[in-house]
Amino acid sequence: MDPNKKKIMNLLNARLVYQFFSGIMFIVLGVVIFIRGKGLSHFFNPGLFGLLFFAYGLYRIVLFVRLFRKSQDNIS
Amino acid sequence: MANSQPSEKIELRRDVTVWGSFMWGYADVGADVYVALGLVVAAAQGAANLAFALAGLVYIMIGLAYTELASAYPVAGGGHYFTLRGLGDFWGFVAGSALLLDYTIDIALFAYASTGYINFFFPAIRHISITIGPLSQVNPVWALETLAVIGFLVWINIRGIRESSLLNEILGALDICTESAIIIMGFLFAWKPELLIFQWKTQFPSMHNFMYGSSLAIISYVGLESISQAAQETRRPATIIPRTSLSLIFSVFIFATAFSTLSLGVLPWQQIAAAESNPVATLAHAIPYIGFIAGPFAALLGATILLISSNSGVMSASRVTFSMSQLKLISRWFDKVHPKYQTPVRTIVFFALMGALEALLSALTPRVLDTLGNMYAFGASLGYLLVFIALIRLRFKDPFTPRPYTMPLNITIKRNGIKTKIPILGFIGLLGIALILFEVILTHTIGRIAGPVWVFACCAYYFYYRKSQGLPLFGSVKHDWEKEQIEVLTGAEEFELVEKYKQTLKERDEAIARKKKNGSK
Repeated sequence: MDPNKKKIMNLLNARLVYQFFSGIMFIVLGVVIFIRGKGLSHFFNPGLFGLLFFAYGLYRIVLFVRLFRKSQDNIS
Repeated sequence: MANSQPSEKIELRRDVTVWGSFMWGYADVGADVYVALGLVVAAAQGAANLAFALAGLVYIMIGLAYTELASAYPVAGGGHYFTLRGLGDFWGFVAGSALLLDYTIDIALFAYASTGYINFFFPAIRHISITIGPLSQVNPVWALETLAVIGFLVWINIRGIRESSLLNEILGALDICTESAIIIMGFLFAWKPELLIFQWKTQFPSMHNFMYGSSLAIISYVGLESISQAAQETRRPATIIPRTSLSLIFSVFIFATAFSTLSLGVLPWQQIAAAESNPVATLAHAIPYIGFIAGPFAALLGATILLISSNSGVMSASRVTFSMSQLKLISRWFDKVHPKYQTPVRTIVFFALMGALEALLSALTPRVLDTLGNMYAFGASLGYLLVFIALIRLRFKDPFTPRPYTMPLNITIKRNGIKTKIPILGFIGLLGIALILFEVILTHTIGRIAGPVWVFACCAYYFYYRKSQGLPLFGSVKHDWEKEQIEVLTGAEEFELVEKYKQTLKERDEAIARKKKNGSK
C-alpha cells in the first residue's frame, strides 16, 4: 500500500477515533458538570463527579496519544 | 448417562478476538445498569450516585485482581479456578458454586428484565396480574416470555461460540453508542444540578437503606468475570486480557456513575424507583428534543442488551461447570462437548434450566427484579471475597508463574531467597468486598437465606460426589500445575511467556540444588 494512504488509514483506525472522541466527550462533560453544578461550593456531589469524568477523559486522551505513537512507530 | 473418557483431552476453541473479549465483558457488565439503576435508586434515594461510586471503587479493585489472575492463568473457570489454585479444591468449589448462583440468576434476571423492556411495546401484557392462592401480582405471560427467551439462548449457545460472540459484539457496540448519546444529551439539555443537590441534601437515605443500596449497586458491576471465563477461548489471552479488562473496568464504572448522577439531576428519585422495570427508558424519555423517540428506542435497546447479558450468563455458567468437571469438582458428565459444534452442551442445558427455575420461583413474588437482585449480590460478594484471598495467597504460593499484568501498589519482600510482591490494593479490595458481603448479610432478607442455602446444597453434592469417586473431601487432588501451566500457555500461543516460565523454573531448580549441595557439605 502507498505509505501516505497507509498513514491516513491508520489515522482512521476505529480505536484511535473512539479513544480521541470519547476522551474529548468526557473532558467536556466533566467541565459542564463542575461548572453548572458549582463544583467548588458543592464539592462532594457535582464537584467530585465532574472531576471524575474530567479525569477519565484525560485518561482516554493519554491512551489515545500512546496508541497514536505506537501506530506511528509501526508505520515507520 | 454417557461419560467421556478420562484420558480424553477436551479443549474449547480459541475463537474470541480483542473486540470479542471486550464485548463479551461489556455485554454482561454494561447491561447491568439497565436493571440496577431502578433498584439502587429505590434504596439509596438521593445518594444513589454515591452508592454506585463506592461499589464501583470496590469493583475497580476486583477488576484489577481479575486482570492479573486471568492473564496469568488463561483458562476457562475464572474465579473458581483462581481460588482452587490458591486455596485448594474445596474453596475452589465454594467459589464456583457462588459464581454459578450468580450466573443462573444472571440468566433469570436479565431474561426477565429483557422481556420487561419488550413489554414496553405491549403494555397489556405488562399489566396482567393474577392471584394464585396466597400469591398475588403474578404475571404468567411475562414468566412464559422469560422462559421462551431462555430457550432461545440455549439454542444459540449450543450452536457455538462464533454465533453467540458475534451477537454480543454487534449489540454491545450499539449499546455503547446509545448510552453515550443518552449521557451527552442528558447532561447538556436535561440535567438540573439544583435538583441533584436538593435530593442529596434533603433525600439522603438512612444508613440501612444506603447499605442496601450500595450492596445492590455491586450487581451493576457483576460480569467482569466473563472475560476470564472466555480466557480459554481467547486468542493470545495474556496480551489481550489486560487490555480489554482495563478498558472495561473504567468504561463500566464511568457509565454507571454517569447514569446515576444524570438520573438524580433529571428526575426525582421516586420517579426512577417507580419505573423499576425500565429506568433507563424513563430517564431517556425525560430528555428534551430526543425524548419522544428515546423512550421506545431505549426500551428496544434495553431489551437487546439485557438479552445479551442473559446470554453471557448461559455462556459463563457453562464454562464454569466445564472447568469444574475437568478439575474433578463435579461429575465429568458435565464436560461432554457437542460432537458437531464443540460446545459444552450438557452444562448449557442444565444451568439454563436452573435459571429458568429461578425465574419461575421469583415470578411468584411481587417484586421479581428485587428478589433476583437480592440473591445476585450474595453470590458475587462471596465469590469475589475468595478470589481476593486466592490472589494474595498465590503471590506467595506461586510466585514463578509469569504475570503479564500485576495489580499496582506492591511491596516487594524476599522470602527464602524468592522475591514476592505483596499486593496492597489486594488487601484494600479484600476489605472492601468483605464490607459489601457484610452489608448483604445485614440487609438482604432473601439473599442472606437463599444464597447460603444454595452454597450448602452445592457443598452437599460436592461431598457426595468426591466420596463416591474416592477423592479427598477437604483436601485437593494432586496436579502437576507447572506442566499444566506450560501446556496452557503453549496452547494459547504465548511462547514468550512459556520461555520465561521455563527459565524461572530452571533457575529455581538450580538454586534448590545449590542449597542442597551446600547443606550436604
